[in-house]
Amino acid sequence: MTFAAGPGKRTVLLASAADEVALGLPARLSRPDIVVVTPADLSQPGWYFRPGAGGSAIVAEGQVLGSEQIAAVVTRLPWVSESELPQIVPADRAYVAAEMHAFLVAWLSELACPVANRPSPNCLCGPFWRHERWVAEAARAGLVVVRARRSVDAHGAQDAQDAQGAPARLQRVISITVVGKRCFGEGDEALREHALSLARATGVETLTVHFGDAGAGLRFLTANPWPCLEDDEVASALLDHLVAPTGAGR
Amino acid sequence: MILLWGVPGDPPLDAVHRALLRRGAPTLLIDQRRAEGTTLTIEVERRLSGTLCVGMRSVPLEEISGFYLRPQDGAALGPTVRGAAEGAGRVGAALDDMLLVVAELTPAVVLNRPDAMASNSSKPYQYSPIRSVGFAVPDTVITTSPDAAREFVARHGSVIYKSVSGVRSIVGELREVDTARLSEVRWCPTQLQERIAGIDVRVHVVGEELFACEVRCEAVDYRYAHRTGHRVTLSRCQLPDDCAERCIALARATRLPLAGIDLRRTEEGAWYCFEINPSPGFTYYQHATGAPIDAAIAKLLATSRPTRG
Repeated sequence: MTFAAGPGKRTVLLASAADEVALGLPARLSRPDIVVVTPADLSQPGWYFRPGAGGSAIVAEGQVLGSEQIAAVVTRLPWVSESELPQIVPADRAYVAAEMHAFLVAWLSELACPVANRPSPNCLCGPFWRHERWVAEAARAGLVVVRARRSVDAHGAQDAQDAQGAPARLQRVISITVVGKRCFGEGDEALREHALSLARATGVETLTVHFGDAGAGLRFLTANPWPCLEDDEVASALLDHLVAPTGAGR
Repeated sequence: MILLWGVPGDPPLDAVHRALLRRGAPTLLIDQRRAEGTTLTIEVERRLSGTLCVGMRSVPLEEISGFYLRPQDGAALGPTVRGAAEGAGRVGAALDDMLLVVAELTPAVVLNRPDAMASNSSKPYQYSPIRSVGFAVPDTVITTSPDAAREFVARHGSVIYKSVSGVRSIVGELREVDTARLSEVRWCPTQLQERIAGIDVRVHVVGEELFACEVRCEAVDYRYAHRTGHRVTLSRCQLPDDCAERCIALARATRLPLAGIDLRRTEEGAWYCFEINPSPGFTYYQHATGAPIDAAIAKLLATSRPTRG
């Protein structure tokens, strides 16, 4: 879904205060419409959300921003951690972090504007799946996968992948980032189609899919719904996917 | 084979275990405190496979037909409970994590799948499916604005506050003396809700079966009535058909075949829903009312067909 930006609308980038890539994005892309919101902003007066009633307000850069002024949200923050909340007394940090996370899950889920990615209850960036779940979902989506294998006994836990996928044996690893219907990164058309299939099956706006080759061809290794903003081209594509320039709705 | 996972002594876990044994169902109990005696290997390609060994008993994961989860927070169990051996806590945490993978991926009937249970960590996240099946939700605001909080209190008069997450989930009534503290909401999004007068009804959904229990209590949160010296009276009750259908629909919409749903019926006959609990402590209600909830859970575990795979 793509919205026209509209005059005065802002794109909210929700990120950790330690996320240099996110903090620097507005300047890197020369996009003053992007406003970065960190967990500390949730301790500013002005946040307001009535579940089911429509309309909400946030505080960004010290200003109250109504939901009608938000063109889109990009979430780089998987959860709110205690270390992000120095303004809260230590005894209350764990509780406040859980409350802020729970609030953001509900708020991001109900926002009418595009959100990349919509949260799941335990991850603000999208589905929070263990490696084995990603492998199973990829296989169901038709991808050839590297089998996941794990064991635990009294001596401890061991992660291992099938011999063909053991990290030490991989000759090549490539990553494809899906943004809407576009793909970025290496990989031929078939791999790109596989990455798109998995993103569609997962129901996310953006997904980075990793493939590895141990001599039998490239196979699915794992995937990550965390928005990839390190690359300017990918970051711009994500923003354009969510918010078309005024009059350029697709 | 039906797996049970948790800490023996936990009333719901014990009750389901006993009910399964009464049915003659094959069971395997994974005691969370004894991780050192358990080994688990999992392999995932399109499907889950592997082997679980508990003590001397070994089960291929493909033979699991049911899985009842009541894990306690691993960190809370602590090293002395986990076992004295060095590294026991680490082994326990790894085993917990792998059992969650099994619970996510096994085609067996699972009560409940971990990703579905996660909705309990955000109460307002649950309001959307609650509304979608036709239940009312009290007017709610979550805010860091003292002015908005005061305006909400002024509009409704009688207001309760409760956590947004599943942490410290005790409901309290905002009293006159508390209004002076509303300036404190600026530090953390705080949930305020109009107080709905009426009778509490706890509904346990077990597959297609329903067990409704009326709760009469003067306390704001009957679960903690003992702290304020209030008395709680529980009795079985019947739900109107449309309300019962909504409960079943809500359990389906949230992918929770076992659920504890908190309702309140007003004098006017409206039904409000506050939340849906994915790991209900049903024994409290069963002991008071005689409702055979444990038997229904055992039946669901023992007779359901695989649901995913």
